[in-house]
Amino acid sequence: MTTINVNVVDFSEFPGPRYEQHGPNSGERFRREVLLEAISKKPEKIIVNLDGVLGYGSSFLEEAFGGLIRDGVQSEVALEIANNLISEIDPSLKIEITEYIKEAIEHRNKNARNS
Amino acid sequence: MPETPNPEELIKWVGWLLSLVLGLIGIGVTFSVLYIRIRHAEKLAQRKERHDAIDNALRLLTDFEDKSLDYWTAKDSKYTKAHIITAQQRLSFSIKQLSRITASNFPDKEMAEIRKSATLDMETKRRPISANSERILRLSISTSKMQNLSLFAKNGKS
Repeated sequence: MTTINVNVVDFSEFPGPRYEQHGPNSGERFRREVLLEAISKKPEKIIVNLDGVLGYGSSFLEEAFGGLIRDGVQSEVALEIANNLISEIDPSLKIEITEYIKEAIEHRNKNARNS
Repeated sequence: MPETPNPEELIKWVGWLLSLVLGLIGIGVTFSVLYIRIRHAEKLAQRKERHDAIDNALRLLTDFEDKSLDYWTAKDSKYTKAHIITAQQRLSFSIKQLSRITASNFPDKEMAEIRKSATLDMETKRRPISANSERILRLSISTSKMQNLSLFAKNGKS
């Protein structure tokens, strides 16, 4: 079974804003350079460890994980990543990320119905 | 024919036996009292640890709320995004400690709501915002909800 382990702390100890244009270590860059890169290798499991950084802003979380859906990643894949998240220090991150992914899925489905 | 015990000897033996029994009872009572006192001291120490953890978490919750409100509503806030996120991280850590001490669940929904109301789009949204705005209302409600959780309740028994 192929598993890719992602430690956010390896990306940055200081996760930044939503977009790269607003500052370094953005959620946008984390999604593109780390998450989408990992997904493209089609592993059976991706485990993202959120511990070890100095804290997260919600914008980073929304853009990094909710953005997966906007980038066309399958709902099941994104939800599976949320399900496998590790967050010992702050378990609320898992709830929040799952919420963002579900909202993005809902938004995508709504757009698909309207078009 | 069996020898009749000397009454003086008998009284002496009964006296010894009584002393022995009373001595054993005394030792038993001493150990019981000691055990109760140790248990009581342990309970007091646990209660103090719990109350200290509650005080610390409440202090950090207030600190987080104050900084967030200032960040969003003050014209020239001295607080930056880093201050808010660090305050949130400290709060989260202290509540995690409190949850461990009280063997309670971490209030993850409440914490997620608090972070979301304070930090979502904090780099891009226009500031200052009105104290009556939806974000400020959400922030106040979410911190109040957190504060009202049974996790933060102090009582004399526990």
